[in-house]
Amino acid sequence: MYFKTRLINTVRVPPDLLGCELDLVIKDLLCESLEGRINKKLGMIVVIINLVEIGEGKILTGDGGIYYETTFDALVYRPQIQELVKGRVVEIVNFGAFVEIGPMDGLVHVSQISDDFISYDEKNGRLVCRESNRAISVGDGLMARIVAVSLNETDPGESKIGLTMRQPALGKFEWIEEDRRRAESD
Amino acid sequence: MIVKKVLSEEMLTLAEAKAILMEVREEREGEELSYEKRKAIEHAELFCHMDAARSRELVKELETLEKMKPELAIRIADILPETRDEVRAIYAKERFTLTEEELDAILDIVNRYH
Amino acid sequence: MKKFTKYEKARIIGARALQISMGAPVLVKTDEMDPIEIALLEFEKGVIPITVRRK
Repeated sequence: MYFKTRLINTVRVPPDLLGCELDLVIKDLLCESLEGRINKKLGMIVVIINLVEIGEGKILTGDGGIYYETTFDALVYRPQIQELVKGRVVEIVNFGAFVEIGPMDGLVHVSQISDDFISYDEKNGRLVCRESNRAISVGDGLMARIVAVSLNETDPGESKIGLTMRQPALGKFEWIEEDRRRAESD
Repeated sequence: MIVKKVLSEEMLTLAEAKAILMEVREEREGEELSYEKRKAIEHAELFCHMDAARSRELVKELETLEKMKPELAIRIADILPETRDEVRAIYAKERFTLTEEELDAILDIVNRYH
Repeated sequence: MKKFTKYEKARIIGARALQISMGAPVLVKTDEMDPIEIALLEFEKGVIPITVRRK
């Protein structure tokens, strides 16, 4: 889920940028240092929306930079356990499907796709259910539930979000639709 | 800690997040957006077709129901469930269970915003 | 203009000279190249954007 979060951070403005407009400089510095970064409690800072307040600059001994305590609003994405998400398959690998659920991808492990036995069809880049012959491939839209979250602060790309579709009303949109039609005709 | 202090936060619907992302994309026209911002925009454009104000209205209306939490109202506004099963899936990990009437009440509201 | 003690004056000029040496824009017109001399000139004209917080 996305949040609009009000944060405070200290920004060091290097002396060579002092001639420029301060709020633009500080916003740029914040964007550069924080966008795409992850905090375990907060989630991922996706964008810096706007500055709310810039405090008085402070000078430290031995450093030509000036430190401004800045209050600002950010768009934050925080995947939460049990959250239901819609996503699109971006990659199929032999152990599952990577699904884009926002600024980050989640993984539906083969064991979490369906109650069926799943095999990997390498030639066509698909994961196929043996009994029903249903398959998922890149581009498919689906509904899943977040069951595991492990955020990596030092390397955001290494963060892992585990998804499951082995619950009622979850799965590829077409499957849900098919199941619903079948239920209605019964 | 990458930030010094968290002052406050509010939950956003996907539509509201999308509006912010679109504004940023316009503001920074000409710059190449980072990987995660492009992903977020792609995802929002694919799965959200409601405008931000309307999604907030929907959340407000859902919040008038009993057995509702702000968090659930936002999930419902993001997913826009069409069947009882989908609503049940959203409520799966909550301590309250909904009767069929309550499920339908939610679907009725969502339907009017589709 | 505020009166500074000699210690404060030294601190301000020192900090300002460091900023200038690291590329901060100079606020007076001068041919002077030495950051400390420039900072002194700025101080005399009272244009240094630094104040003192006395505790």
